[in-house]
Amino acid sequence: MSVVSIILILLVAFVVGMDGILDEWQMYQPIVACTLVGLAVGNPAAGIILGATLQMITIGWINIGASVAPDIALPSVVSALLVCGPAALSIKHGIALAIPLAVIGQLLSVSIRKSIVKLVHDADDAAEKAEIARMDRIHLLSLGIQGLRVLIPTVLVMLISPQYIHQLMQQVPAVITNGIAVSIGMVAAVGFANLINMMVSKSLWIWFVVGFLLAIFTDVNIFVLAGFGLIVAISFVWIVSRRHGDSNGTSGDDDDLDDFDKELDDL
Amino acid sequence: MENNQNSHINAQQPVHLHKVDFFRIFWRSGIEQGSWNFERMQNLGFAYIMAPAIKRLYPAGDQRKAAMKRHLGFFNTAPIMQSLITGVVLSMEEQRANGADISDDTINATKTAMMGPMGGFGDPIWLGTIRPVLSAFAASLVLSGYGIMGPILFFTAWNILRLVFRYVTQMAGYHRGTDIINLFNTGIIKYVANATSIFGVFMMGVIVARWVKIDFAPLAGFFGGSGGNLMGKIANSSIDVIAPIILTLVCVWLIRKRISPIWIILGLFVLGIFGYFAGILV
Repeated sequence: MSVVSIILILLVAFVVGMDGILDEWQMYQPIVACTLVGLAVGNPAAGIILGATLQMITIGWINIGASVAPDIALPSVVSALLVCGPAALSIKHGIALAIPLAVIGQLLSVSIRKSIVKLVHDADDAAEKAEIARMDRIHLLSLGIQGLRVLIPTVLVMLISPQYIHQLMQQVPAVITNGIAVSIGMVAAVGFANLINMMVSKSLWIWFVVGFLLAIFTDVNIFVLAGFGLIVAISFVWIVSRRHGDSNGTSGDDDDLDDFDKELDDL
Repeated sequence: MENNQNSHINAQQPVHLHKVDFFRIFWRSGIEQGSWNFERMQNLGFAYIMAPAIKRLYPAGDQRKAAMKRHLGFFNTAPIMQSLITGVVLSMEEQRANGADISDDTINATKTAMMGPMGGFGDPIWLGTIRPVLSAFAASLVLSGYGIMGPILFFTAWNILRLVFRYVTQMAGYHRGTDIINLFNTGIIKYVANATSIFGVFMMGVIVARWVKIDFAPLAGFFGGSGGNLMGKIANSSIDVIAPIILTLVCVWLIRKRISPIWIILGLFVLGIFGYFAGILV
């Protein structure tokens, strides 16, 4: 790899690591992060495909409240580096490696979120002395540490000889690689299940079924289906609100959700 | 409790936030969660966002110190919804700096009262609907051969929506102040939340249908003879319809049983390897 490539990869790793905690710019989502790494290495085509495939798997991995989901930032960068870079792994291998990397990233993220508590106490001290600039620096330092969370493992992987990684992965029996490749379509279900668990209440299942049936029995483009869904959703809510009067709205959703939770717990 | 301090400030010239402060605060809101921690979560992030306002409104000394400490208290909400809360808090801080009778407790209570509903409203919309739908669009663009257009669409669409929403809600929160809470009572938030969840769940059905696949080997072999081919085709296509939905429901059930998604994924890998080995999956 050229020096420029190396610098660009390190930059991408750092930025993606920071965005992983921010959850703002979404550069850490595989479809963007893998593309950026692919561009940095000079092999964007492989990065984009890997990114889109990983995206299907990670689509429902969401940090809500205080929970920390499996990490997305670290596996996106390292898998893309190994697939697009000189190690030239296949996309199947890249995906297989992404899962343990997601766990490593999650552990690192949790331990950093714990250790940042100390820095927050420094910020309390800065407030005690009315030092705004110092408080700002502590915030930015914390952000930088989260960037290093992806940067340092990336550097460690870059230090390993790519030929060695390539040969190592060739040792993996074809049954395992191909087995993982056929399970990619199934693994996508896990992310959706996570989203469904969060979003779908009893009264909403009907919409899931409608969407599913429309998509599986027709060849209509996903964008058209989305437009259709948006119009139907808005008109449905509008009609319901007209019928029940403005004050009622669609109250009772919470009860439905609770009932459904109970039902599923009983299973 | 700080009325005495406020009243002597009142005699001085009124202080107002400048346009540049709003831009600084808006820019800073893009890195709110940088110091997310398990003790007070987004507390330092919120204080960091407020810093330009604190600098402008409270020249130095005890007032500045109190303001910094005030915003280092526990805070956690959906990141993008935080701009609305910031806007409301900015208007309260500005009034307080000009002598209005607004206590620490009032400001803290407003933040606390808003962060829960905003989190409960914002996360399902932004992370549960907009992001999955946009990234599904992007991934299907990539897989149908549009290459880099996918990531570009995802990144720009998300960030335009996010930045416009953050700026508009920050300014709306500032101009309407605590009155914005009355907006919650009109039910508008409920309608938006309902429409979004219907749309989101509909799209989840669409995406599960298009993306979740169990690649069973052709079943033609099980039915001998020439009619077997047709039987096999029918069996395969009905499995293609049923399998994704059953698999997804099983995963939902496992997740409700509090099994970590990572274990489910590893389990599916094992299933895939055995299925491939046995020739059931191709």
